[in-house]
This record gives sequence, C-alpha cells and structure tokens, in this order.
Amino acid sequence: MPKYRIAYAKIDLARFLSHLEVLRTLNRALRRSGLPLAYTEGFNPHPKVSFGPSLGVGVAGLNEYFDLELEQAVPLKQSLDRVGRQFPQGLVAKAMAALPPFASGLSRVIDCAWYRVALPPQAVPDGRLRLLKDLRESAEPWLRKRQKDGKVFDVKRGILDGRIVPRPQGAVLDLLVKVGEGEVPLRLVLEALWEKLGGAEPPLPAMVTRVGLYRLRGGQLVTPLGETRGLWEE
Amino acid sequence: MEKALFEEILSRVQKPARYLGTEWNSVKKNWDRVAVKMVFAFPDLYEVGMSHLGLQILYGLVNREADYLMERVFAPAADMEAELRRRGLPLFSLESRRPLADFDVLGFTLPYEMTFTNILNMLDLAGIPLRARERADTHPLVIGGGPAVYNPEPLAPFFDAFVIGEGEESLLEVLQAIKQVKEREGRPERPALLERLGEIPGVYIPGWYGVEYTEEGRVRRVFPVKPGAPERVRRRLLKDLNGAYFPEAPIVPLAEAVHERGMVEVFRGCTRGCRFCQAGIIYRPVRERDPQVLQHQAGEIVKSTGYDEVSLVSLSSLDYAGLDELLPSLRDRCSVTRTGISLPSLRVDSFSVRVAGNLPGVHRTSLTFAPEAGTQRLRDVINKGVTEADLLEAARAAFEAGWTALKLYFMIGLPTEEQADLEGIADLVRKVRQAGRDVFKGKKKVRLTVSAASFVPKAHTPFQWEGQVPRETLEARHRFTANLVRRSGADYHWHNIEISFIEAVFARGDRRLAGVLEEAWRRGCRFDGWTEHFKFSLWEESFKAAGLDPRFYAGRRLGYDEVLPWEVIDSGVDRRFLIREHRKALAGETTPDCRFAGCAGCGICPGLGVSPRLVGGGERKFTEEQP
Repeated sequence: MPKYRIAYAKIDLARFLSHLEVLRTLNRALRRSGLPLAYTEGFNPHPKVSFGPSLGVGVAGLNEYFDLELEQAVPLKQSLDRVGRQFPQGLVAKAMAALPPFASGLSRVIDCAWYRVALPPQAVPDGRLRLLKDLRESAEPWLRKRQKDGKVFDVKRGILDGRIVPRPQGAVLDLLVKVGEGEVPLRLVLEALWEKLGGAEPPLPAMVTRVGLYRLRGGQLVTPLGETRGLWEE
Repeated sequence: MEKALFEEILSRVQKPARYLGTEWNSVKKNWDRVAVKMVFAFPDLYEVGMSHLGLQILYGLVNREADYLMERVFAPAADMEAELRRRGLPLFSLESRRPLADFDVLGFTLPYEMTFTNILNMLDLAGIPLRARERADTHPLVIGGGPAVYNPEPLAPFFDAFVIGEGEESLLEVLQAIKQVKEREGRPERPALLERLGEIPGVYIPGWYGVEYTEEGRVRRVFPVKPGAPERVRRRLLKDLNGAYFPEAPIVPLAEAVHERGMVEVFRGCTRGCRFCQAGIIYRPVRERDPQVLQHQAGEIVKSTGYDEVSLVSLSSLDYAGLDELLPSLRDRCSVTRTGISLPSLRVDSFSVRVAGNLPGVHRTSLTFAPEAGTQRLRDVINKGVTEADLLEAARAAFEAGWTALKLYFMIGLPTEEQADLEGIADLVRKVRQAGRDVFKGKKKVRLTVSAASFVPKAHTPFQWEGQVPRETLEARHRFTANLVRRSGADYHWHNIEISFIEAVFARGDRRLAGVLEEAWRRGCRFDGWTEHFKFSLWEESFKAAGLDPRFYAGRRLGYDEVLPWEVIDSGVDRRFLIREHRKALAGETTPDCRFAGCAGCGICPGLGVSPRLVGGGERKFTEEQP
C-alpha cells in the first residue's frame, strides 16, 4: 500500500502541545480528512501513521514530519490541502511526498536537528563569545546529570555546531544537535549553555524553535523529503 | 491578555494545552457583533469539564444563535492560579482570552458538591465580588445550573440566579431576556435584570427568599421576601428529545480529557428507582431518542471530530428500547471509519455483557458492575433490581467472552445495613471467583476489584431523610469489609470517607453553610473532590470558625414533618411518593420500574404534563437475540 511523508509546522499557540497531544490531534485530523487511511488489524484498529522525533511542550517546530500509509494512491497537492484544512490553529501542513517502496522510516533518515534559541537582550555579549570559543576549542566535557534517573551526559558531545546571530533585539543562538544516537536531552543542553553564559534562568521552552530535522551526510544536511541544505540554510 | 504575556505564563504551567482555546470545533465569535456574551464556567479541571455533555450541548446551542456567544473557562490548576495571582491577572475565557468580568453572564455548571470551593476561587480570580449583594451593575450576572442546583442553598448568597432543570429548554430564554433589558437600558440595573429573569419559569433567584431557623438549628420556614416570587420553583424539562438540539460538531479537547470520544445521548431519565440515586429523580421521566436520529447524530459526530469511538450515553443505556434497531446500523456506519462503539455503564445481567462483547473496538480489559449491596435484603431496601443470579450470570458471560478483570461497585453505610450485608459482599466475591474458575479451568487468572463508596444522602431522593453513618463507624465497616474481601481474593478500594462526609453536609445543607464554604476557600481549600488536594483539617477549622457542627448536617435523621431547605426547588416528583418509597425501603419492599410495570405514582407526568417516551411507543421488549 502506498506510503506518504507529510511535513508540518507546530507554531503559534500549538507549540504548547505535548508530543502526545500533537499525535492525537493529527490522527483525528487525518480521520476527518477522508483520505483512504490504511488501518492496523485487531480489536482496536488505528491508522498506520508514524511520527518523527518528539518535540517538547512549548518548543515550536518549523519542519516536522510523519509518515502514513493509504489504501490507494492519491494526488499529492489535493490531498495535502484536504489534510491541512483539518489541522487546528497552529498546526500547518507544508508538504507531502510519496515514498518509494521500502523507503526508510523517519528514525532512519534523521540524525540531527537545528534548534534556534532566542537570547534575551540582557545576555552578556562577551559571554556569548566565550561560550562559542569554549564549545569549539576546549576538550573539557560539559557533564550534566538528568534529574529523573541520574544519568550523566556530556552535553558537548551532543552538539555538532553552533553560532550566534545578532538581531535588532538580542540575538539568536543556533545549535545543530544530535538526534537518536548520542542525543542529549535539549533541556540539559540549554541548562549547560546558560550556566556557561552566567545567565540566571535557562530559556523557557517557548524561546526555542526546532528549525529543521536532517540527516548529516558528507557535510551536507539532507531533509526527510530528500532536499539538500547547507549548514544554517533555511 | 497580550499574547507575549500569555506565552510566558503558558511556559511555566503544567499541561498548557488546557488553556489554549484553539480546539477543533471551538467557536470564537466577533465580540462586537453579538448582543449577549456568556462564559460557561466549569468548576473543575479542563480534562474533567471537556468530558461533560452538558457543556457541549449548551455551547453549541448558544453559539448557533447570531445574537449570543458562549466561551469557556475551567478551574485553573494550582500552578496557573499562582501565575495569575502573582501577576495580578484576572481569570480569562479560553476563546478570546478576555477577563470573565467582561461578559454579561457567568454561568457555572454545578456537577457536584465538592466543586463548590472552586466556584468561589474562580469568582475571586475573576475579580467579581463573591456575594451577589456586593456586585455592581457592571459585574456579570452569576448564574448556576446542573445537578447540584437541586439543593442550591449552601451557594445561595454567591449566585444571582439558578436555572433549574434542563438548560436546552430555558437558557436561550434567559439570554433573550438579558438582551431585551440591555437594548432598553444599555448597562441594565441589576434589580431590573433580575426582575425580568424572575418571570422565566425555572429561574430561582435566591435573594428573593428568606430563611428562618428554629432554636435547634433546623429550618423553620423558607419564604419569599419579594412580592410575586413563587413559593417553589419548578424544574424545566424537554418533553421530547427528538426535536431537541444536540451538538453534532462538539469541541475536540487538546489536552487529554477523561473521556475522549463522541457522545450520543440515547435517552434522558431513569425510572429504575434506586432509592439513593438523585439522578433517578431529577431527570424523570424517561425520554428516548429515535434510533434514526441517533444514527444520524453519531455519523455527523464521527465526521466532524475524527474520534475513534462513539459512546451511547444515558443513565443506563442497556435499557434503551431501540437498541436492537440502533446497534446493527450503527455498527455498519462505524465499520468504514473503524470507529469503536462503547457503553459507559453496564446493567448487571448477561444480556448486557453479550451486547457489550459484540461492540466493535471493545477494550477487553476490565468490566464494571454495580450490585451496590451485598445481600438481597439490602438490595431490596435500596430497590436495586439485581439478584445474585443476575450478577453470577453476568460474570460468567463476561469470562466466557474473554474478560478476565471485573470491578464491582458497592456502597457502604446504606440505611438498615447490618454485618450480614458486609459479609454478603465477600460472599459475592467468592462466588464470582468460583464462576471464573469454572469458566477458565485454571488457564487464566481472574482479577477482581471491589470499589466501595460511602452512602451520601441526597436531596429529593427517598433517602433524603436518612442520616449518614458517623465517620468512625463508616471506617470500621470499610475495614471489616476490606478484610473479608481481601481474604476472598479481591482487591478492595474505598473512597475517602472525609470527602463523603463533607459531601453529605453540603448535599443536605442550608444557607448558613455559605459561611463555612467561604472560610474553607479562604483557608486554601480547592479541588476538594480530589483526594490528593482535599484537606479535611481546613474544613474542620472552617466549621469551627462559622460555629456550625458538620455532623448536624451529615448525620441527622430528618423528620417527615420538617421543612427541608431544598424544597424551595420543585423536582416535579411528589413528596408523598418519596415518603412512600422511604417507608417501603425500611420494610424491604421493592417498587418496579414504571416502564415495565404500572405507574408508581411519582407524580412527575401529571405534574409537568409529560409522559415517558419510549421507542416503539410502549413497553420495553427484552430480546436475547445476538445483535
């Protein structure tokens, strides 16, 4: 049965939905859309849909993905519209592609994510410089312990690259971090960075946006829809 | 509220999805283009309120009118309350994020007594004076509806008006009256507004009544202090559900609700006549919806929501006379979209189990039955028409259909209860276990859970005159039963006794309890129905501060000759019927359901000019046919 990949954004107030809430909400949107969904067998059949890596409560996502299986092939543009019309405010259907047979699932085509953090104006300028210098040059690990189970992560090894871009108000911090293997929880990354910056309170989730999800291949970033991007290319 | 500020707050609270107001099928109207704005306030968390059918019905009913709008607000969780108070922000509606004080009407639904402190908290967070007499013309009108208005007296000083009975019937009349007064006078004066509302049948304006007490603290009389106020206010009701409004595009919750499913209401009312049950009185008579109407509504709901389950709701859906016609066609309709069908509660018999077992999308995890009492004697006292044979057949049918876990509901502290009745519970558990062994022959293990509540006497029921057993005795009985039940191989859980005690106080309370309520709220009581939030010591302090003894309200056996504070509300059921039922209970005599036997003379049909409406126009047909 034909498989499709849909790219969507989770923005505006919808950024405050949890991963589970997004999942339920989009599943219902798919059911309302009238697309010929393929269902699992058994007592409680559900549509064959699989979602990409989860996104925390409060964090926006500009290019998120899910795969779905249909009972028959459908026209892409028209179906994307049909699904998109059923998305509630803040969830936006962006693109739809047909997957070739035996295409890899989302977990196989994603190994890194670009996060953008809005830095408040009061963040110290030279603090920013020190941070990046440290990130690039020092071999010292940044160890952080996760609250719930005490597991220790080397935050630095989870970060692939970073930059700071000045903005009319404050600045943004861009981070390319690992997803899946070697992933460090985003919360720990932010806590560690803020400690280095000497800031009081780590940024709220609502200051964070996941710009994209990629697979890093030969210095190039490949999106789950197969497009190639340079680093920090939106 | 500004968006940046809102986002900052949302970042700091648990489950912010509770407060977004951007749900599918939610309605945000142009504020300046409607004449009357109402906010529906649910005094519990979002996830509880969003499962409430009454909210969905009234929300759709009002919002389809061009002249009115209805938005929603739920009790904010403790973290959200703290954020609002810290910043000095008022409680806001979900859809347009406006302060509640901007609305013309603030309408609370009163699901049950243990939500009362949340009402005061929400009024306070909205910046609206708690007491109706302290409100200015600029404040919204605070009205209440729902089941707990059948004894509104403990809340009387806090409300401008109560709307008694079924809101589909009266709410639009209330909004129209407000619209007329507003058109005439701009910002209307409160007394003029109430004057106009008081003309609508079913509207009870507590400020128009006085109460006198005897020296022992009983109510001597309740009397109108305003000329023209009726002696009693009679409930409103729909005569026919087929023509009544029902939401075919209900709001789909964003934060996970207690029940995540579409609902069709197969009928309203129940005349099985359990003598402790208030719902069995206040929703009489039984009015069934036609199968064709339900089939259509279910189809529309599935289409408009994308839910993967539709539930056939009512007080006892297996009693629906149109089941044989409805289920096959509904199953066909649902098979296309793989939609499951569920029944919220099962009757204790094998027929129910077979019907439930044939529904698509059934989670074969656990099945619940409510025999309520452990012996036939006590089940006759409460008029629960269930026999031991019914239960054992139902259990056997459940095991044969593959269920391995059963939950049994009982009530402890029922009138006339003796030790033998408690032992009877353990006895039933043993027999159900044996039925499981007979069916499974050791291949599967049966898991039984007994969930035990404490009896709470409720206003307008035949047991309204009965006192609640003292707390110490209740606890001893629960412990005794728990011990026996656990030895019979089942788990035993009992509801918090102190919560049931406070519930009993307010269920039969009078106006003086308003002071206790306010004290309790000031001391920090919130979400009292939630065991983890309930703080009994604060309640004890509050009663002391108000100089009232809670045991006087919860435990006292009332006389037939006493004036009952809630009798200013007329449910339509005859007091003489309640007395007759109470006497029969004490004599162990049962009263059959008027749907299947003759009229029991409760007085509702002649009194309110209605009659039971059953599919097929007549008696209930029992069929054992496999659907």
